[in-house]
Amino acid sequence: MDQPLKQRRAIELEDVHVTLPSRAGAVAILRGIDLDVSLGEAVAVIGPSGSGKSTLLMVTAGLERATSGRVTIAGTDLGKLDEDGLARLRASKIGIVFQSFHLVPTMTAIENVALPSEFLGKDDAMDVAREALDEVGLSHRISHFPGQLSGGEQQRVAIARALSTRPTLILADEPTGNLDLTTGTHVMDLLFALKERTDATLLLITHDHELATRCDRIVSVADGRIVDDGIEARASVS
Amino acid sequence: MTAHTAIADPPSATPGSSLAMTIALRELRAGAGGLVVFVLCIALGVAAVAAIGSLAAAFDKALANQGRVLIGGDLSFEVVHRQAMKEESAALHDLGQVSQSASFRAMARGEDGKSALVEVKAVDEAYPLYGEVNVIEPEGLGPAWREDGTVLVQPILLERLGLEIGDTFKIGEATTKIGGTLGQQPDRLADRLSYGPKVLMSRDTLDKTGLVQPGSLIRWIYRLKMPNDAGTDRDNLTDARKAMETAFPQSGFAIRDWTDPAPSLRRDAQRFTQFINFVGLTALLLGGIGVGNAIQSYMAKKRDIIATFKCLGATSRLVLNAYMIQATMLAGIGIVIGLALGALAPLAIATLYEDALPLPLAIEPHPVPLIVAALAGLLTMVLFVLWPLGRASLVSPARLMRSGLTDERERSATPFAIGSAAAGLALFVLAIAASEERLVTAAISLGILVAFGLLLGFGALVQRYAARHRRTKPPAVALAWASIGAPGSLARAIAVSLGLGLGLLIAVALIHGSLLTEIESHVEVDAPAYYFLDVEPDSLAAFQKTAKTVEPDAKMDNAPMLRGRIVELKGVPVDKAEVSPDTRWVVSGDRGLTYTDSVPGSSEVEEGEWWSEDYDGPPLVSFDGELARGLGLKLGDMVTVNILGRNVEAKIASMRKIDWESLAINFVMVFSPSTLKGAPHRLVTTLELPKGTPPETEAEIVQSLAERFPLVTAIKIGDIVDAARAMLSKLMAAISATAGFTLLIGAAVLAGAVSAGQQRRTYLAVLYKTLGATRRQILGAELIEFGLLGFATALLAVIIATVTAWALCTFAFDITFVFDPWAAIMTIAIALALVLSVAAITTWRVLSVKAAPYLRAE
Repeated sequence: MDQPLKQRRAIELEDVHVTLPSRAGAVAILRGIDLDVSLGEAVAVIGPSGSGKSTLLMVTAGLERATSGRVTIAGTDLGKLDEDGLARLRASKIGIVFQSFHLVPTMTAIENVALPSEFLGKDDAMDVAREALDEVGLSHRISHFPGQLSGGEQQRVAIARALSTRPTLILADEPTGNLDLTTGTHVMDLLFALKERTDATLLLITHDHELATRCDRIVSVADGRIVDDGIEARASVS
Repeated sequence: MTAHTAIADPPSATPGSSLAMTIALRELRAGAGGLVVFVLCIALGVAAVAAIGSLAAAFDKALANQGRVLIGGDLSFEVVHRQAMKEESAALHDLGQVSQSASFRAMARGEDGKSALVEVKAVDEAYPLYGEVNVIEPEGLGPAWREDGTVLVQPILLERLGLEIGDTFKIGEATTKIGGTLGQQPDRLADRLSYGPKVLMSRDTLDKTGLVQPGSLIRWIYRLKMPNDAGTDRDNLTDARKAMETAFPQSGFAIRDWTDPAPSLRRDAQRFTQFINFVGLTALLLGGIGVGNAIQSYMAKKRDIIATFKCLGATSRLVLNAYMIQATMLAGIGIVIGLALGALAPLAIATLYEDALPLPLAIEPHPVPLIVAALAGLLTMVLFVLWPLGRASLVSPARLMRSGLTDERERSATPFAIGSAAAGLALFVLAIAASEERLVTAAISLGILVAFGLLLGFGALVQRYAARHRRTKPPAVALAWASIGAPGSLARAIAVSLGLGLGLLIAVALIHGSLLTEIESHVEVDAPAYYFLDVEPDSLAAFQKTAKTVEPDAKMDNAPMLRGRIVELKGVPVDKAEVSPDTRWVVSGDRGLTYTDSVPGSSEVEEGEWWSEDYDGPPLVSFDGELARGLGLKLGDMVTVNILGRNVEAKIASMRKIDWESLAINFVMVFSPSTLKGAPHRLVTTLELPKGTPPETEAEIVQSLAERFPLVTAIKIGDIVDAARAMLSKLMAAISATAGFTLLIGAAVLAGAVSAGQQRRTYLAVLYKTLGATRRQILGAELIEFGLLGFATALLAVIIATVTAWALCTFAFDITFVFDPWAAIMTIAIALALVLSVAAITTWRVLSVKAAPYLRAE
């Protein structure tokens, strides 16, 4: 089936290169990435260690600048934004879930979840956070610190934080990497459910092939390049 | 040959100190990052203690080395009002070579009528017995003062009278020619507090001035140089002193020898040293806190390495030894730097403040204070390092297998706490043993500990408050509160590192302000404008008339004035009498005396009775009540005073309460008229002018009096007050400088504490940036955090300093405490400037960090 011609895109990466300096000289991490992800799509990115998957996510989130090429997120060219512009974009349009959770250890669950709304200057940040925690089933743990939560609970708080502002795009970097199998499955079930409910776009970095198959498309990355953008496979399935 | 080759036994020796040294050096090879602050804090603390000790030693040595030059002889014999009698002079000449000089105040009058108070020293041909008179201009002049009518003057007199070298001016009835400008002279410490520029002349020139009159307030000093260096032997000095005291028991000579040339200066220096010792101890303790912070931060990064060592077979003892060797080596570097800085302090002070010092310091190594400082540095290091090192050495190897949050240890770290406490006790004992005033040092040490405890407690309170009240808007403020309330917060670090230095600065400023206000308020309201000395009793009427001709509303008061020395209290010689330290000055030199038949103004009888107008019985004296009690005297006790070479024994008939602050004529001792009326004496007269009297009128009065009464000396109260104000300001500046040094160390400690938390701070900033915080929000949070803590600390410092200053003003100085809001504002401004500078540097680093390395999946 042909792709609708005017379908809007959540992510557009055009010939993106990322080269980082090192003591041994410049190292090319991404070597000309072209990737389009439609709104509402769930895309898994797989590849061996050191293939550039995490850097791909960093560039998409505006946490790393592309050395060359264009990165457009929800219609906004990231190259035209300064640091503050990128920060505001992340707060309003992008939610990120990390392998190591990256919760602020000295803030309670509700305070952690409220942070992006507070950075956007919203008056109802705490109410929004409470609602988000309720959605992930942690309304009974809102006053707990990360150190008092299990790994699964911490990751659910991280998911609540990522989705609290109803972002256009969710980026998840090995979200089950620090969780056991059962917990990881529950966490991913939650993530996908919330993704559907909010109609967000999902870019999922993972080693887990089984998890990758839950997505609409699987993109394979190797040596800084996309070796398979998953479009043919998707087309044949549909 | 068997299938299995015998395996040689492993070496049986347990790894010893050489392995610990090897590990220590390998670890240091990778860099001692974060321990720069460790070295700096030790260096500054040791430098403070070494500098103070070296300065004190340099001063004491200077007094000892220059003793002969400072008093101008092996011994000096001083009397007031009279010259030595023939017999006394002959006896002195039998002991060695004698040089006579006369010191007094007089008026120098220019041709144009300008006049200035001067301090005259008239010397004989033998002067100086030791040292040289330094002539500034013209170069190579030689002893021009020996020429009849020629004088040397300090340069400032030329300015005041508008004169040049070669010009003439009048002193008394003589016209003198300025031969050159006078620099340092030997025996300058023998001079009392000077209110005017010095003039050096010969005895012959003095005779021409007509100023030597019976009862004139002139100090006659006889300096003695014993033959064949006999004066080097202290026994000879004692023998000479005893010989004169035995032969002339009522001479009233004040005798000094070169072994203690300036006792009051020495005591003042000791008191000042005692005070700045407090600064030294604070600096050391602050430095120790910095050391503790640095080592804790360093060892936190080493925990995985230590766990790995243990997995591979290292014992806790080996680990402790290795890191203790590292700490000791770095402390050694800090101690060497500190000792070098401290040892150079006398040279630096001598170079920068040469003119302000009363004598040249002895610029040479002073080993004892340096040894004490090194030992103090070492003990401080052990006190603050043993506990964290000990705990770190006990890290369990299981740590590697578990999350980094575990704090598991193999066994209790209590022995290390005991070891640290022992080092602290040893430091306390060392501080006391090295001090002359042990009780005071013990009190100061405890006071410092209490102060630190208060500041720590305050910091903890602020942290707790922030933790409970951190949900607030806007986000920058909320983040700031969250950071203040979190573990690893800077609340305690800022309070401790800056609180003491700030408190000291503001206390000094408040006390200074109160003292100045006290001085000025009394001068404005009460004080006479002038004191006139050596007024002839017969000329009093004419004197008063001359002044009132110019200003009819001028008020003049007068009293007879002599000087004498208390030689016995209740029959006990003063050098054996027990007196309170704060009244010792009364018996240390000569005092002004007077007689009157009625109670003097500005005083009231609080005990006893005043004698009748016609009293003609045995000598009676009225004493300042407070001073009498300090001297252990009561009504009816006998006091012996040497006046004009005669011992006068008088009974205390009354005690007075005197209002000294009015600056009106008043005396510690007032005698019944029959006691002193017959003694040759002159009058002291005060002149009080109506408010708003123009300066020209004042100048006209003084000029008229100077012209008509050339032998009278005019002392302007305003000049005295200015001199006192200037001296006070210098003293306060010196004390403030030492407080500033404490602040400097505090800044280093703060920088170390901030550096230790930098990793956490950076991670959080990256996280906030990832979640959408703008740079402005992050910067705002940092500045608000540091600003709040700096402000809170400064506020606490203001409160503590205000209470301390109030207590000192009220109970120690007996003056009205005046709160100066500007001092408080300045202190807060300094605190904010310091912490916000640190915040700016910290935030700059934090904002420029890339997010990726902190957020990448493992």
